[in-house]
Amino acid sequence: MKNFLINLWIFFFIFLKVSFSSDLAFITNQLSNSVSVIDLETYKVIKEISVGSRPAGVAVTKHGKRIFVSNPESKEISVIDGYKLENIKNISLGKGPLGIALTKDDKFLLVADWYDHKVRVIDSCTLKLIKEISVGKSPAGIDTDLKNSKFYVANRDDHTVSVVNIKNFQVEKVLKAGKRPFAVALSPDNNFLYVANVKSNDVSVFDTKNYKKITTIKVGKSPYAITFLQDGSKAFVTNQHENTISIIDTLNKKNIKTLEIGEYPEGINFYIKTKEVLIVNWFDSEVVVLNSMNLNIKKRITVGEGPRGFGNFIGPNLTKNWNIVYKNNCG
Amino acid sequence: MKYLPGIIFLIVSFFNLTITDVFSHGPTRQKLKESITINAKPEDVWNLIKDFGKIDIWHPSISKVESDGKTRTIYYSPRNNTAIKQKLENYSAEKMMYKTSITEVDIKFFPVNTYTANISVKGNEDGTSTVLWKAAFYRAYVNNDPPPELNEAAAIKAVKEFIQSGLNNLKKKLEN
Repeated sequence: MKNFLINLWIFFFIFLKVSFSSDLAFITNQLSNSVSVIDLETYKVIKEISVGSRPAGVAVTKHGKRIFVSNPESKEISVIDGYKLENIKNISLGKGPLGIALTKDDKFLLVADWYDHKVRVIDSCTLKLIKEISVGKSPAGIDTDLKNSKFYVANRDDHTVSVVNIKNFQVEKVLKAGKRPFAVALSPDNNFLYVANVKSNDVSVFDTKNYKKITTIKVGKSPYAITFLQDGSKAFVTNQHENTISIIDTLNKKNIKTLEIGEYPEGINFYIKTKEVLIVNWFDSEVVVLNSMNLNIKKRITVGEGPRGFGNFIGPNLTKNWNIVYKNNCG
Repeated sequence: MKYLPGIIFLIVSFFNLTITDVFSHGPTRQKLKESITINAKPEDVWNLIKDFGKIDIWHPSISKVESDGKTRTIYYSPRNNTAIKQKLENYSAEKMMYKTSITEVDIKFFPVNTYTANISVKGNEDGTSTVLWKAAFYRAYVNNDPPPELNEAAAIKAVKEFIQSGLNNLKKKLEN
């Protein structure tokens, strides 16, 4: 009987955790200087948070306590508190912070600066500047690996990708991409690096073991960002100037489908819980929810003006009281 | 001679301003969505605008246009008759729409960068038509802290004038 009760308790807690844990999407609205917060249970915008000027990049810590937003025009990083969903601080940084990402241990926020060609490393807890790393011209998209050992940044106006060691923040290697690479994305197993080249309308694929370029995959016009399914079998790429997304079969490294999605699709994230792909349409000011299996569009959610959602914009919802127990650290 | 460094600085800045990497741009894209309702059938509206190479027959501010069907150079009279080179990106007679981009422009007169636009005609229930002209573009200044003549407001003003004068004249032509 005692065992049964304990089991019941455990079961109850698991049930609580599963049924009450929900997630949010944080969409940067570049032309309305705000972030729209979407509840991914109801697909409703629950809040619009004012940030700096012309927000573009976004990164959310694993536990959702902090959300970082880059504002290239006001040269600031906005820090949003995940419990209150309020902008708690704007940090002045560099000349044009754009692409941002967190290391997988959430210790460091990496900020690519479009104008002074550097990546800055910020302590995500103390918000202090730790290091400045010179990379190529107009660095944009960043991705970090699972082992906290390397990060990759696309240098748009140099046609390269810098590979940076996270242990010592040294540039280890510079890879030659296609024309005007903007976004980078590691496959879920981290074996491959995909790079979207805006001007050559293709995706370069590198082997991360030896940094050799394996192939180049043609996609639509002006590819902007990339996301993978959880199992890595497919990659989804937004094509800004074609109003479509390209779906890549990652095993054969082929573009297998092009799908009309809306005007100027930009930021794109895979949402593990529902196996949906969230796509940010800049011109239409909406987020499209796409079923990744049958490719049906489930919903179109109106957000603020000119959304870009450049980065990983999904994180846990902490606005419910019972989560307050975690409140002490900043990760 | 004491002005020499200043003169060199001016020359260098001038070159930096005009000979920029044409594919670079700032971090913020602008958008404009302008529309007009015209008391005419959509087919008639489309008939007037459908020829990419003959924009001068309905846009009042284009003094001359040279076109090979896929690209066109328009001479835009309100801004010093400046030449703007455009490309036809997409065309659908069925949907009555086409998409253009600017491939070459003198930012001194028309301060925009990486411009694309979409013009389309739709019929309304009451027999009128709506022409929708959507544009996406960056300001001309590719670096941070732009001077006023090359900032966001200057880019929006230039594009707005271009689109609105075109739409207004289109209405006038079709309704008279």
